[in-house]
Amino acid sequence: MKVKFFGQLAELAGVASLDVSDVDSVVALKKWLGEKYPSMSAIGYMVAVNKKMAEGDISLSAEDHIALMPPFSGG
Amino acid sequence: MKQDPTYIRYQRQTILPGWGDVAQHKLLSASVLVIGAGGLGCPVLQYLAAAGVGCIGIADGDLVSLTNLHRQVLFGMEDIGKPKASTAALKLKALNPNIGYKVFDEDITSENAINMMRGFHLVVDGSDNFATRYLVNDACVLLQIPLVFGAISQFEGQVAVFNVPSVEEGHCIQYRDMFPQPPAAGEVLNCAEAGVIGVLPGIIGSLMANEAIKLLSGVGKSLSGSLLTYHALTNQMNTWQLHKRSDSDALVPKTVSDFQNTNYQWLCGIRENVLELDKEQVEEKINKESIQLIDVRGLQEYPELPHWDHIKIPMEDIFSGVELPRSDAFIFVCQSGKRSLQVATWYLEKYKGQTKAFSLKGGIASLI
Repeated sequence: MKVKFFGQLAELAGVASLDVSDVDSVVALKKWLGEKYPSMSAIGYMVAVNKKMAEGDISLSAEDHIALMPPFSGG
Repeated sequence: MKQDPTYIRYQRQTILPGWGDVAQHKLLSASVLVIGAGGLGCPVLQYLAAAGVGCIGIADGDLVSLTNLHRQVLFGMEDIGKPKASTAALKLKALNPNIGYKVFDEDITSENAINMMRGFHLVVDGSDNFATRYLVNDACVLLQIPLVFGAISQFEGQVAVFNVPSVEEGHCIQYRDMFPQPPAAGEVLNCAEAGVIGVLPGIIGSLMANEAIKLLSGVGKSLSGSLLTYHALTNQMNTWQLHKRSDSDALVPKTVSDFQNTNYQWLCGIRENVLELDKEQVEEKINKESIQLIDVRGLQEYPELPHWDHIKIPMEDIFSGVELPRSDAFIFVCQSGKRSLQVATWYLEKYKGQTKAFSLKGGIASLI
């Protein structure tokens, strides 16, 4: 599945997007990302699956497009 | 009648299909409070004043500085050192003297927010910190005032419309549906720390003004229920469908007095100085109070914490919910003082100050 990073998350990942396999749920994806990029787990980001915000754990498939959106505070 | 100056001023938008005198009259009868006269606030204020919103409130306790001028386009060199809100009002009066202005040369706080907001039909949040963003969101939820939200980070921006009841679903989406709790201090950087490209707040602020004008005039479809994001370097613009969380409304203070007693600065972790203790302060606390020292490093990490009685519970275990022994207060320690500060901040947030928590500044490294 395609995982796209926004804001500071892209900076932490060092890339704008990644292809991720071997995860089948939002919780598993967050855990995988937390292991790969430990500082990412400190940021409470929103997860969108196929352009819809996801709450809690939902299952993911290889065709899904995931976006990870951190809060912005600047003005 | 059609030649009076008011008609002429707004003629170019009044002749738009679907606009007419009706939409213009709605704008002229509306009032908007704009929080923050900064990068986002400047374009929002300019377009709302130009479009003829009947009464515009401006709240900002900050003064104009030279670092503001690359993006805060209402101000010039002669304004440096002057209060932003009243200076912005002066410029806007020169642009459109036929509407009303309410100036608040002060930051919005939980004490003054309710009085400041009451009576406005719409609030626009162009502030620059999480404490204000959560405060403004919660006040708007409490007072049931629609909120146009915009925020930026470096090259990216977010726009949303909150607190407008959804016709299909019957509920209102609010900021806490996207981000239920504020991030801890330092997790997410602001413009002063991370930088911002000057034209970006111009773009995002214009999108916010557009949302405000659509809501107030009743023309077009508002962004309510969606988040719009824009990336200035790639021109990618996306909208994301938002979802009502089951717990978001419960996170907002229930009453005006609960709201006024909420310390938003504290919730957003702006308290590092009171949280960190040096070696002497730790000694003093140990001698005076019943206090538990906890080493939050991994169990294999050395050197051992010298001098003081302590227990070891690694940070990961605390975060995953391991119960701490009963104590009136905790002092967390680690190697450099960073992890222990993170734990103390997390602990205070989780337990909302029921137990005191501190962190040894500089960590064990400062003792040896």
